[in-house]
Amino acid sequence: MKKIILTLMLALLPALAALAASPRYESERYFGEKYRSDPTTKVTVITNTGNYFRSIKVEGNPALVAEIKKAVENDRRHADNVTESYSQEKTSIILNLPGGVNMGFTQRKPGDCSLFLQGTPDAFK
Amino acid sequence: MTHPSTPLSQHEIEQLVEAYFDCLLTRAEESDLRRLLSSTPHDSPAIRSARAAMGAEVALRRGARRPDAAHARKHRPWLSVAAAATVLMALGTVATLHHRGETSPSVTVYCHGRAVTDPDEALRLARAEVADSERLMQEIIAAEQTRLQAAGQMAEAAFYSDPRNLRNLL
Repeated sequence: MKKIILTLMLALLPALAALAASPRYESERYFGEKYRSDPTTKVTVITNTGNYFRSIKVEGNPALVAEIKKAVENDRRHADNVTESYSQEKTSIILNLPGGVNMGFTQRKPGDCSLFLQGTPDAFK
Repeated sequence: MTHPSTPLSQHEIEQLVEAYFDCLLTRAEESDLRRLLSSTPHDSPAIRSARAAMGAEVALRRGARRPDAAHARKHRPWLSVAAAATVLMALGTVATLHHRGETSPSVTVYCHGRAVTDPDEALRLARAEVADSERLMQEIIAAEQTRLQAAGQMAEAAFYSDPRNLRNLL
């Protein structure tokens, strides 16, 4: 029995470690390595002592835009405050997240969107 | 900021608001300012912006007496744009720091799958990106204010068109 429990614990450890290291918000992953080398994107990364700013602009990639939009919708559940704006020209979603983190998403065409995430560096540690 | 025995003038409050937006206040001073904005009768665009950014508008409405329902409705647009106003202020901080050169930010930009290797070009692109985000916030704030003020006016008209509400006011 002890052997089984030990084996299970050892098997679960990597999964727990991966979970701990995963981004807090789903949208964070779009500022990572995979999307920095995507020819349809422009990724901006600013970090200094007081500010953490990440943004991604997508052009002509409807699949990626839909994916990002879904992630923002999922992150909405963490928000303290939400401002949404829908018009024929564009959709905008602004989230105020705990710890002074802000997220903004804008979609003008099915394949074009921009997403930014901003806060203090401590909020992302 | 200390606790003054005499109420602060509108000009003094606006100076504090300016210091707040320039990130010159300590956390304790920000708390004091938030309380002050919740109770002061003074009003100006700067004071309203700070109220929206600090969420003090909520406290103001909770604590204030409601002379009539229409009066309370006039303030609602600020609450609904508070999220965008907060982000705008935060983005302003990012942009200001870079312009003043008070810090040496780490800036990396990837365009169409390639890293921008020229640091000046990367900084220029990054600033443009922050400015774009600021513009988005400003657009949202302006659009939401217009839309919600119109909605407030409609609600006000509906309120006064109901004779029961008029009787209650009298």
